[in-house]
Amino acid sequence: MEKRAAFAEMRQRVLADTVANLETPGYQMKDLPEGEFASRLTEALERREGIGARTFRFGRTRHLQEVDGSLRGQPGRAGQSSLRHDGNDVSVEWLQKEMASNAMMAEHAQHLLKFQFDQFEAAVRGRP
Amino acid sequence: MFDVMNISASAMRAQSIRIQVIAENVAGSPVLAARVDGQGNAVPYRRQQVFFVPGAPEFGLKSQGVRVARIAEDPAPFPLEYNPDHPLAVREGPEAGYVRRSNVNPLLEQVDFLVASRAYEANLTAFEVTKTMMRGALRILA
Repeated sequence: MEKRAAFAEMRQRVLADTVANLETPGYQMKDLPEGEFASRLTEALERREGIGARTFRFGRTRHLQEVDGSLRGQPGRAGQSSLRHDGNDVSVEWLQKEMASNAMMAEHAQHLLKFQFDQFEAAVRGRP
Repeated sequence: MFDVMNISASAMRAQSIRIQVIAENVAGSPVLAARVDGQGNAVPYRRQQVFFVPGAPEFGLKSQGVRVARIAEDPAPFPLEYNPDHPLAVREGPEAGYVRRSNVNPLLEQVDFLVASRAYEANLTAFEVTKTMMRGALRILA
């Protein structure tokens, strides 16, 4: 869940940068692929269950890498929009959609994290 | 995470500079004699253009964000209007008898203004989303 929230924050940074360059000539849309993160997270979790290890290793994918336990991202091109005459291909509609879903993902991860912490707290206190 | 807000803020700043330049263009459009050229003829107001480039050092950002690289004059020719009785009409040469008008096109400025204000709003939305995410992250603690 921590990784999920960290990824959402990182992706928000890339999306905000793309919105900022909505009108910059020659700018091309950037993104951190959600699918890549999700499939690697599932793989990493399954691997951990399989070997019964305590530590969790994310490893690296094309755009994402785990450095000293924290996630780093290298944004790639998000190319599904048509190029305008000034060499810019930013699509506001697509960005708004992605940003909304990313925010929802972050909220979800934050809720679950809080739930986990609350459970810990209840366990430490010894009463609900 | 606070960086993300800087990215959106840099874009909002850039768009507001653009709106300011558009306002200057609209205000300057009726000016027929902003200066005088070598032949003693009146030169009207020339349209200003804003150029954006990625990166906003003003906000502590190297490659992210956006800034206004420069504000340059639009080299488009001045439209001519035949009116030999006008006090500012060109006296000699091939343009004699014509009055030079500003190369500002109010329709174009209107469209540019709409795009700029929409872009400003889009960045404001991104700013709000970032804020909500940060608030959510802080709520985990308390």
